[in-house]
Amino acid sequence: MMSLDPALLAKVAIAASMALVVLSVVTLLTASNAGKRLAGAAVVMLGAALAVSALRAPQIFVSAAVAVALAYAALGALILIRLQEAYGDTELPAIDAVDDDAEGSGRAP
Amino acid sequence: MIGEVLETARAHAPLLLVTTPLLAAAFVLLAPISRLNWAIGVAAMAWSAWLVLDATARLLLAGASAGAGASPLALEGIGHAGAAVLACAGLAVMVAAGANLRDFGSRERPLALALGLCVCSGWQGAMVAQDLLGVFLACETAWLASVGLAALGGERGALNGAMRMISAGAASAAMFLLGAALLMRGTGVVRMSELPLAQIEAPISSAVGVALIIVSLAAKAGLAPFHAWLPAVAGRTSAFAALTLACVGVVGALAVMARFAAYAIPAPALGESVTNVLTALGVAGVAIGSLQAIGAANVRRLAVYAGAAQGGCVLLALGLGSPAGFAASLLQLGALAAAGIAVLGGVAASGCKLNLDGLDGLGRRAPVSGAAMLVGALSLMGAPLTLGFLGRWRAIEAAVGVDLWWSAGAIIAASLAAAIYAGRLIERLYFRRSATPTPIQHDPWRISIFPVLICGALVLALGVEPSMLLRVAQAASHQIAGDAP
Repeated sequence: MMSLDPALLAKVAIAASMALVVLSVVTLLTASNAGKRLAGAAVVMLGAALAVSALRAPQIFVSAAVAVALAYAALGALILIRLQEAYGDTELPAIDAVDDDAEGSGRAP
Repeated sequence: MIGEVLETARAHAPLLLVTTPLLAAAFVLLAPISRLNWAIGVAAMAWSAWLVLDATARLLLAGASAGAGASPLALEGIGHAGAAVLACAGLAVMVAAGANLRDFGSRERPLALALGLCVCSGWQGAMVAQDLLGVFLACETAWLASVGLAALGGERGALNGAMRMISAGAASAAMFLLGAALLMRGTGVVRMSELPLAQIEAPISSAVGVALIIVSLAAKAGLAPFHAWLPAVAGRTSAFAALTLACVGVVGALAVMARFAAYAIPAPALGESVTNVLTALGVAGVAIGSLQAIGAANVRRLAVYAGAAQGGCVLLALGLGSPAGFAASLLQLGALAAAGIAVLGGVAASGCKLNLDGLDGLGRRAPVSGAAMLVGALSLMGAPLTLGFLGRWRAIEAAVGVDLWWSAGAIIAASLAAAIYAGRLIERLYFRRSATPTPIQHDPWRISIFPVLICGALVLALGVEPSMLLRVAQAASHQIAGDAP
């Protein structure tokens, strides 16, 4: 059976986790739906945890990354629910338009 | 007995700076009376401020700071001065909260106060944490508490801003973790104080790691071009949240950047990368922040854009890489916090509309708030005899001292731009009459006006007689950056 070079495997793991982080950051910053942004936030933290692990940082960093990811996901989910309740929508361009209209007319929504 | 307690508290000051606000937050959630909650919050921040100012007088000014040793938490150098600024800003924000909490419902008030205390605890923790993991966890605690605070109360638009904070915060946290992992892989160190003497085996990945950490903190400081979340939150959230985010959150993140830079710049093979990243971010912050402040139509947004421009000046001073540059950046941090409290606190205390036309004639309708805002605006533009002038002047001197004339030019350009937007603020306050004057809603106890007035007075007093402040800034910068190349 062919054995794989561990150094090459480590490099592939680092590259894959970095790619995951970059892709999820792009999703995080460009998605128009708040739910997709929240999913992006969870994935970017997961990618960071994988990258930290691949870079052989102390395991406590991986645990910290997972804990912070859970905190972001929980708080983000709460805000997402309140956004849906307050605006009846989670599409950010529509929410921005409602906010801009309210600000333009000088009244608090 | 009391003496022994005080000595024990002094010996554990770094730990108490983190735990006191957290314990107070827990008590606030349990106590049923709003006024009692507020008193607990003020007492906790007053205790934190006393601890750090006492340590400043005993250790920093006497040059007796013994270093961190193996302790995970310690007050030293830039972190010490940053913690002092943050504790004082946190105290002012907490005192003003006595009136500003009116924006929240009765069930939300204890939660808002507790989250405000967690923000203060988090940023103070980042000032005393010795390793990268401690700094990361402290920053994230502060940030998540800030998101919760921004989403509470205020308009429903604040929820939109809070969602942007979640996006920016997650990207920033991932960058910090990646940066820390790359830095540890390249240098083999976890404690920041070991960076200057580290054997750097992989300079490129270490430099990328340092850059990622700085960019991550820039996003949390709301520095242009990573500041999309800040105006969205500041314009629509409650007065208490806006004051906490702008005067504790932004200043805290900038102070963490200063502290990290003070350890990274003396490190061989890293110094140049750090100064380049700081300078690039500083120039972008000054240019974009100033232009947006000039075009702002909402007074809170104007203040946070002005803060982004001032933050750019702080980074330009840090990017000089010299002890004089670090001292100037600390002075500018103090000036930014005081001016922010004077302007944003003045707006909150007067209860005026947030559109700029709501300021028309406010200097006559609310003379005390108007005077504090006037002093804050003068400090933002760097007018002589204010703390803002002192910080700018020192930064220009430091830039000229290392022959970076263009950096001095950028700081002067920031002042010229500030003269336009701060001048517009002053013109509205004193040289216009409102077509439809709104009634001023004073809080019955006038609590919110005290910290605003004190900050306004400090901006002037420290601008006129800065010797003590200069000694603190120089002592802090020499402890860490004294051997910088």
